[in-house]
Amino acid sequence: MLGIAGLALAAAACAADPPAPAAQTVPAPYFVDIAAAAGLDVAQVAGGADTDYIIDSFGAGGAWLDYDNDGDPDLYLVQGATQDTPEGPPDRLYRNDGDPDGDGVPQFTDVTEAAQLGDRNWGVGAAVADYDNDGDADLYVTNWGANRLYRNNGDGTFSDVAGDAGVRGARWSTSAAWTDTDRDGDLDLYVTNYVEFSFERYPARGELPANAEPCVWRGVEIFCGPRNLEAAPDRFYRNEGDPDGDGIPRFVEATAEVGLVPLEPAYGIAVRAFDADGDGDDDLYVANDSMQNLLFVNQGDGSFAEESILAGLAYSERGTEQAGMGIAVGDYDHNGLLDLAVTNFSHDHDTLYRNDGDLLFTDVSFPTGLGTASYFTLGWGIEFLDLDLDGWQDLYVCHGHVYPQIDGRDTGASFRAANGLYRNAGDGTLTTFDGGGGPGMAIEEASRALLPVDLEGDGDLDLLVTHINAPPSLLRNDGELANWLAVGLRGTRSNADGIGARVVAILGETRLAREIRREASYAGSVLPRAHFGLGGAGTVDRLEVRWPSGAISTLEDVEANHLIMIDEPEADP
Amino acid sequence: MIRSLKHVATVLSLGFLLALPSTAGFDELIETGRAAMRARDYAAAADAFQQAADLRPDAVDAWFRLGLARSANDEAAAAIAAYGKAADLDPAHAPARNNLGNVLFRRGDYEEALVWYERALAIQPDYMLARYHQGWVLRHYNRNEEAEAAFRQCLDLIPGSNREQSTRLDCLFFAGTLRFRAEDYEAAARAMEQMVEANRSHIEARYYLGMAYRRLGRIDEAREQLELHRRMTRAVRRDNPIKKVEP
Repeated sequence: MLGIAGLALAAAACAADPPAPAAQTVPAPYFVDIAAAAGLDVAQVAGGADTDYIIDSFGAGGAWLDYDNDGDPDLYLVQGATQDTPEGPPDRLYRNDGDPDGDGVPQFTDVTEAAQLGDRNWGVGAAVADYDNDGDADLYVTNWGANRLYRNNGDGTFSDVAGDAGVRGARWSTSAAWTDTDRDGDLDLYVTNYVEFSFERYPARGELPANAEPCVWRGVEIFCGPRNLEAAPDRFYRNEGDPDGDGIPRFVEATAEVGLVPLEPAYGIAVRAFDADGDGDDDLYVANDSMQNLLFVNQGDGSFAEESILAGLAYSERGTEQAGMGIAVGDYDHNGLLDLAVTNFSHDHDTLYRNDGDLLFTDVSFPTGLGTASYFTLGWGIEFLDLDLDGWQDLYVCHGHVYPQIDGRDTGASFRAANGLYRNAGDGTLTTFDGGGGPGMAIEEASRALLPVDLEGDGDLDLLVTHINAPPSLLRNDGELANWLAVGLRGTRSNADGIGARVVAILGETRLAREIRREASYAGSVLPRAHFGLGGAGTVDRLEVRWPSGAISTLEDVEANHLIMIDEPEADP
Repeated sequence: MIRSLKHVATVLSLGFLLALPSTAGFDELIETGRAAMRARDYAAAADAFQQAADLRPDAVDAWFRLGLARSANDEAAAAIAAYGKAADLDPAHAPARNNLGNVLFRRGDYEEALVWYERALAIQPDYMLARYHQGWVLRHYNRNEEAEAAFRQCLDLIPGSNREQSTRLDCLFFAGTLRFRAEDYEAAARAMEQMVEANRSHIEARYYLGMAYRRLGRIDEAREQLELHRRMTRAVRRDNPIKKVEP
């Protein structure tokens, strides 16, 4: 039986060989990077190495999706470009071919061409959903320039219908979320946009006009922005169904009509739908760079009121604007209400907002320990995930700076950095894992998107992490397993995947709340699953699902350690 | 043509160094360094102070000023070394210890920063700035009760200079923030009311006051304060659109 040290040595010594599955006797989480062995060895191009322009700093995300409905997660990886080669390498779709060698490493095969994909625009992110409710996963890709809406044709191929559907956009889009805001059974789309950017419009780093104030951070000359660059407005597209009967649902750009317009244009980076006030409909939280974040509260009819300030979600504890990058949604304190965590710039802190109910949140970054721990890091992807299956959602954070010029300077930060891993101690604080998280936590890259997935279906959460101008890391979690339950939904009156449903697992007095969502924290998408760590509990006493339609499903004495698929009741009981 | 800060700094540095005679004396070097500090040319200031310290290695003032310049130039390790030298040379130099704590804090060495603030306070218990910094680090560390005690001690001191009066207000503000963290919103509101009375443009105090009112159910007052905060936040952002130079 291998101990921690033994496993670490094995991983270090055999970096070129497929790592063997672990004996699972080390404390969870224990991450081992199997990306190269799994066939994910193509670098994600993401701007020039010197980041002379702000667009060079964003990186590219991706998406987990089961595009062929064979039950295992496939992977779409976005590709950016560079100023010199604005038509970048093609985005790639990798089919998961399972684990043919039985070595614990799934094999991914590039099927981009066969799937008729391969967008070469300067890509940023991806958002998956079955937007036409036909039972397969469709794909929206956010770009600098025209976005793509790839309809899954159901035969292993996709068709770009963004133009006909009315969701092409032509800005610099970053993240997107599919959400049924009006609860009519089909999914609408919110897209964050960042800056009205072109290389012709803004000067490169170090090439400002003579009379301009230089762009400097801690004594280092950097690219300019986003402050003083023109913000690109976010867009909301309402799904109008398929009025022509041609199989292509139409969307109407309804941003202003439904009240999704902030007081001033903002630099949008991430968006997540969640039920902030527990009233059964989807609210929207938007992380903006260098400006206040936004909470659009659904008024029950698909229209919104912006209430971030009064809710305590606009700023840090001290009322300062932060540089919102990624958003995590979870119930870290088991009070049945969904909390938020937002990544920010270095020399500030990531922010954890505790949901106190009644649309009131408290910044508990410092009481939990996150504030102090994240002071020197610049965060992007972030998720609440129960990585040791003890029932408490932990926190994983992607780190990576935007200025390579800071390396070698005495700033306390570096361009490439190890990612953050915080154990939820269950007492309102975040701390470290005894085992440190395994060799995968020692990787230092400029990380961006975080896409969790249960790769092997064994109940623990593995992580796909994208990096700037490098292949992604696929961090298989080899830690010791505890009990777990995963829940997926099949909607009938609601949207096909039950996006927006609230799933609550009840164990004795404890209520673990999750929502079915597709969007990840930044520029990415995940499978629509509610995942619960159950610790030593072999059974969930009661499982409650509140569907977007308002229907309720209840299951008693649900056995642990499997994925359970629940169908929406046809009619109210 | 000067096109960037780097070029500006280079030209300024050359200016300060060219102004120095090749056999500049200690006082002249100190004065040159001070002038460079005033011009925010911290690299040139550090050069001048370093030369002064090399000339007279026992001069506490030269090492202390060198620490100031290195710190301002984001050279944490060199700043720590310079302040440390000043502290070694003068066992009663509280500001060197306080400033050393600041540099350590900025690079995340919180425990060690606290040690140096405590050393400064051991020398000079009524050193308001060090007491404030001690509270600040403890608050950052989420050692809230100790932090509040430090801020209370700060508030018990009688301010002399304008700077101390400003520091006292900072102590009041942070003591109020800790009442907020402790969910004692009445006390937090009282502290922030005092703050905005003393400094109407204190943006963060406006925010805390608004959020304390919000927690107390005083919604209209909360909205008023939070809208003031939002407008003040907007106003301090300098709008200076960036454009490419036209050919």
